[in-house]
Amino acid sequence: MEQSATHDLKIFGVGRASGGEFNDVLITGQGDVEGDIVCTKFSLNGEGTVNGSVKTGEGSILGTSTITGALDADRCKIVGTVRIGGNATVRNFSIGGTVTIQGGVKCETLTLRGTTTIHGDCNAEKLECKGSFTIDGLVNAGKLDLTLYGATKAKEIGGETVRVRKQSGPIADMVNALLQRLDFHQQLVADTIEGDEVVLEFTKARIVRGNYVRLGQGCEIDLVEYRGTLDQAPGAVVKEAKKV
Amino acid sequence: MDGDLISKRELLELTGISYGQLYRWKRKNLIPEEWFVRKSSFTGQETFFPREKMLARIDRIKHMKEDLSLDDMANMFSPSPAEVRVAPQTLVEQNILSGTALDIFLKDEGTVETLGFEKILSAYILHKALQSGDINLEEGHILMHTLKDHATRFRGKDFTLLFLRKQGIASCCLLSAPADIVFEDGTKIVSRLTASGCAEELKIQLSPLNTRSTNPWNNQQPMT
Repeated sequence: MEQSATHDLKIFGVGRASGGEFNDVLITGQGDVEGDIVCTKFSLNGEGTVNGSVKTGEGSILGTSTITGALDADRCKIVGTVRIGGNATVRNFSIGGTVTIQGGVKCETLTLRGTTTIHGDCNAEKLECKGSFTIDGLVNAGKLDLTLYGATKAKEIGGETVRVRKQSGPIADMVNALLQRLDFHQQLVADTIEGDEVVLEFTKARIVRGNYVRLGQGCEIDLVEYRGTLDQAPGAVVKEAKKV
Repeated sequence: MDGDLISKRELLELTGISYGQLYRWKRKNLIPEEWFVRKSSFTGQETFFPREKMLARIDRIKHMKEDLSLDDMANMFSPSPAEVRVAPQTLVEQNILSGTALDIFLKDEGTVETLGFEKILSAYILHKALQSGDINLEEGHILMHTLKDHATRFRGKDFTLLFLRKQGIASCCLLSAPADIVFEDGTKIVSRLTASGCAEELKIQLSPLNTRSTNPWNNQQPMT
């Protein structure tokens, strides 16, 4: 990105603008942008639509927004109800609220809070999630740390360390018991989970493969293949376990 | 086709790598997405790989990872061009191209001061075909013309170059890989080269010159 653009795009209140190259983009209120944006800093507060892609150094999206194209950033924070129509390539990505990404996600660090839906694959060196997600493709993470707060789904999970657990503590346990009764499942459902170190709780999967596998309470696994050790809690259901 | 594929489990057993490494290399684009072949087996859907290519690739990664970062390796394996500009003469001095190959190349190109990666790759393919003795100088021109006129349509993608001969008449074609191709009897494929294979070799040879590492994040603004 060249530093050629020297002007900013600012919308306060209700406004419309065309895309282009900018220094700072600041939309507060309700703003619609037609076309792709390339900028150093992108900040959207309130309600906004970008009919195109956004490429920026630092992004912040708060409120109810849509970007119909791809999002490309060094650092970006999203809080609110946001939809991204394309791929998201963000080095440091933090997502909160109800966020839908139609394409894939590629990050170095990805932090998820709330409910995230990703229709493509999700790649991150470090993925930390407190909340729930639905990922239609492969979750490929160097280090995956998932604390379940709702029904979570992924087609496949792979990586170096995969840790899944449920929030625990006196209050959390009480809430969990209540939610369980309301048939609200705080559970991870995946087809296959593969990793060097796989530590799971409240997970339902067809196949789990790993060097070291530890299955805690609430696990329902059809087939476990392990190379090193398998630790299985009394509450874990495993149909078949094979040492390979 | 089954004989050509290797299951993920067999691959890990044979090469001694772990799931973590495999996923890590996939994330770093060291193993192309197309090589992950999903097939149904008795345990449900499983992942398979093209056996020869995958074993060769894992072997190379294991050997190179001592000296190169994963990003550098990803660069080397990617079909997209490395960032280089080199004077034609330097390529001959560094023994990357033979003098003959460069002469043919320059005759077609005209005189140029420096060459970018795609041009060097064309010249290198020519050099390899000549060096192996598969084609003669005259045929080198045919090859060069084909690459010059048509290689751009495969930009960023892999292709295979076939050099054919029938009753002494030579011809050349480019295929988008992978494809099956059949010829009438009496047609001989005298040379078969893949762009990705050549590009990989070339990148290794060029790396002492001036390859800048193209980290995927480099095109982004540094944070202030």
